[in-house]
Amino acid sequence: MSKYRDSGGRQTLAPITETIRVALQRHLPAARLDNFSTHARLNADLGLDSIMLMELLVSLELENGLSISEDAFIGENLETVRDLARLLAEGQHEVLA
Amino acid sequence: MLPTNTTDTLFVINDTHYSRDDCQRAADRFLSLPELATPENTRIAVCFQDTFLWLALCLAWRERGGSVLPIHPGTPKSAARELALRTDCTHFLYGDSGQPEALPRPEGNTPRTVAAGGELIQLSSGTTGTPKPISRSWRDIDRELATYIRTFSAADELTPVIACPVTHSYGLICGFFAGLERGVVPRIVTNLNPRFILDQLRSHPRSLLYASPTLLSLLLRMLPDEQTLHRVMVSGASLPMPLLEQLKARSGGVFQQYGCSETGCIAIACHVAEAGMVGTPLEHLDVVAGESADKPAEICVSSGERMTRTRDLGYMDDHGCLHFIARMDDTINVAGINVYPADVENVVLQHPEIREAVAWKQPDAYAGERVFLTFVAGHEIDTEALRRWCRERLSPHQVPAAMEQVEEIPRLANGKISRRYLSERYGLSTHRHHKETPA
Repeated sequence: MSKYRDSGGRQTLAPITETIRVALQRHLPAARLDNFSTHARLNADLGLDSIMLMELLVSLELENGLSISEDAFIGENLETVRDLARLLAEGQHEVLA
Repeated sequence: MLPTNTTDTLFVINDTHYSRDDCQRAADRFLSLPELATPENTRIAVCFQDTFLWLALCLAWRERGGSVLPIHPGTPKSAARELALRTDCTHFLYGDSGQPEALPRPEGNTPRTVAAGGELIQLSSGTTGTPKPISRSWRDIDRELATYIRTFSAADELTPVIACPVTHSYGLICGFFAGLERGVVPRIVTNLNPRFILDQLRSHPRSLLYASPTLLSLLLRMLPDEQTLHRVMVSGASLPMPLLEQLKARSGGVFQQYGCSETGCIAIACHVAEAGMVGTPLEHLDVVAGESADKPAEICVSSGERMTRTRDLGYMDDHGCLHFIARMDDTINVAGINVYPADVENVVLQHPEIREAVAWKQPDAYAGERVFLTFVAGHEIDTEALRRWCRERLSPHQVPAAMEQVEEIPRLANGKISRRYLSERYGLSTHRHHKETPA
């Protein structure tokens, strides 16, 4: 049973979004957290550059067990917090499936 | 050494293979535009999202003697256009639409001359963060490539995995062009997914990874116990000693190269015994530096008639190997004794709690200058205890006079750590603001 699923086993993005926020707060103090929301853009609103985004991914995987499939492309396609949360949720799904 | 068949894979970006024909087709799209039909008469600024489009255009312009300024993808349009204007480009290409904008000439300027044979224009970030344009002819780059490949024969059979920007000369010339010249298939990685990068390295067991120190340390954290990196190239001569040791432990070999935008690669080391060891100078260059670690001098590089002062301090050892000591601007003169930031940082980094450390200078009424230290640690560190710890390991003039613990080392807009920036920033506000600092 994962904390990233509700009682019906459905995936919910809210806990993942909160995990992202906490990881940003802990590891990337330069991120503009006051702009944080599900629709916040990683680069334009939160000020994450490519290397900061990678730092975030590495800490999410190592500390929260939230991994992204190795086939996933991360680049300009990943615009918002919600996009990232979705990608992480898909990764979870693969692990549990 | 290029593949004879024009449909063979020439290079790979992430998982997509591109042939010479693919490049030709993409380049033809640009060459069919009247403004760009004669590349030798153009000096174009290019800011593409699509790495393949950039490389296809770059290969065509190099082949036809056109001049080109690559601008890092993701640069806002207004900023990219400003760079194009400042470097006196004739045309500006932005996004992937491929529609060139003819640029006006700055008023009162003499008619533009486009360099014969074409050049690659680079923006050197310098230490101030204000970009300075530096042009190098393709002929000069060809000469660099020829000696780079000859000197660096250890890479002959390796697959370059380029996880650093190919809009920058390091990734473009030493990673991409050198791979093509060697007749191997360079693999460019723009995917920021660390697991994808590790997977690429697993699938290409004889890889040579070109990446920034930050990326390397992130990959090391993710590297599964059973995996090692085959070969790794580092550049910049500012690698913290603990990272170098870790890389050596988790890879089959670490190479280091040293260079600057004006001359490209200057020296290359195939066995890196210590962080500052940058190796044998390339044979087409004449490199002058200090005679020993105790008597370092500015590293000066001559190529033909042109001499470049690197503003770096270094020395040449008895075996003809060049050693980098410090940026001259970063050297701290404490009461007449030179303190090199790396000497302080590498000792501080041995402290079990400290993750990052940067030493920089501040003016001091008595000593002329003093060492200041900014560091990142896992827990809050008692600076008095840290100072005592330093006193046991550093000579008196090396011990930081002041220390500040931060959550992250402040960086320039381009993401680089600049000791000069830290000094100036401190000069502006003597106490640190917490968090609420507006962006």
